[in-house]
Formats: sequence, structure tokens, C-alpha cells
Amino acid sequence: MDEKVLIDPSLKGKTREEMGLEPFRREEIRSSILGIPVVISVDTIVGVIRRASEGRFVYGQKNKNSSWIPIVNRTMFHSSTKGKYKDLDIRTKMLLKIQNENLLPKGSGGDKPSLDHKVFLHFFLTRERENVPKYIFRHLIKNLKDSQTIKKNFVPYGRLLSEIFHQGGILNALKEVNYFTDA
Amino acid sequence: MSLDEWELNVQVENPVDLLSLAHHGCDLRGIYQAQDLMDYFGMLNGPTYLTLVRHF
Repeated sequence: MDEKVLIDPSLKGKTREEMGLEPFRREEIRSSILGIPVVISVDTIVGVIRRASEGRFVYGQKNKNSSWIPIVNRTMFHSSTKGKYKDLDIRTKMLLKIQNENLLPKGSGGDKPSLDHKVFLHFFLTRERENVPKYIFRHLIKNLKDSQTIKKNFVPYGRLLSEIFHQGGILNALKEVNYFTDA
Repeated sequence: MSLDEWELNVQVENPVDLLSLAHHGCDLRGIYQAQDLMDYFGMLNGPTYLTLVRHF
């Protein structure tokens, strides 16, 4: 939307409809593959991983002075102060590993989790239900934004996106036009 | 600023064998069942279309 304004400054201050864009209904990722439009929303992810979008959602915490810091320290390290990775027990380490690889993929930075990652882990350890599809969606948006703004060449959820394309019929559509094959 | 498609690194999720982990004394199934994520781990075993994801 902001890009449209950059192209044509007279559109500034107008609504999305006046700019000729689709109306804003909910948060979505819009893109297209070879001309076929693809729209991803939280509901799309819900459909693919077959799990309802419900539960706790805490994201975008700033590291300083967050009330979550003592809480996550207690669940992860069983103490009120910040512990080290080696102090974690084996199951917590494994959970963190799986989380870094799959649920909230990290591009770089080793195994050191951010506060968002710690909060996410905290809910797993306490078995409190967590809104996983929404986490995945927000994380995907953040990474796509980074790839456009700070030139971070990293796209997460390769497998999840493939499944979305598959279920959305994009593979079939491409097969019909015989465009290319991708093994 | 834009990136070219071939510069993108697509990170593909790793399939997790929870059964084998449990066999080796690290049973995480209860935790993922509580979050209702067992279908998610099943989904990870399917194919990934790297070229398509780059086009996205």
C-alpha cells in the first residue's frame, strides 16, 4: 500500500479501495507464483497443520524490563536469575532445538534464544495451550519483511509453504500449463 | 531494495522422529500432544518445492 503511494503521490491519504487495491479484511500475505495469486492468512496455516488458532499469544517482547523475564527463567532454569544453556535439562534442550529448526526457525545466531523464543518455550513446558498457527504466521511476516528491508536472504518454513501451495491447487495449475517440474 | 530469487536461502524444516527420541529416553510426545501439534510433525515428512518457494 505504501508502495502505491510512492509510485503515485496523488493517492496519498486515500483508502485502499480508491487506490484500486483489495479491501482490508484481515491480515494476509499476498503474493503470486507465475501469475497465480496466493493468499496466506492464519486460517491457511490452521488448515495445513490441522490445529485450531487458539491459545496464548505473546510476541514481539522487548528484552529489557519485560515482566516475562522472571517467568521464563523460572520455567527454563528453575531459578529467578538468567541461567546458561548448559544448565537446561536434556528435554528442554531438545524442545529448544526442535523449536529453532521447525516451529520458530532461526536463520542464524546459534542456539541462543530470544525472549520471544523463550516465552514460546515456556508455554510448551507448562503445557499451556498456545496459538501456534498465529506464531508461525507472525514469524513468517517478520522474515518476509526482513528480506525486503534489510536484505536478509532467508525464507523460513519451506516445507509448510510447499504444503500450502499443494493444497491450494497451485501445483495442479502449474502441471496443466506444463511450466516446469521441481523435484 | 529487492533481492533476486536465487539469492534466497530457503530454510526447510527438519522432520522429527518423536518415537525414536522417546526410545532413547527423551519423550516429548506428551508436550506436543498437549499443544495438538502431532499433525504438524506428520506434515513435515512431505516433499518441499524449493523453486516454488523462491518464486513466492
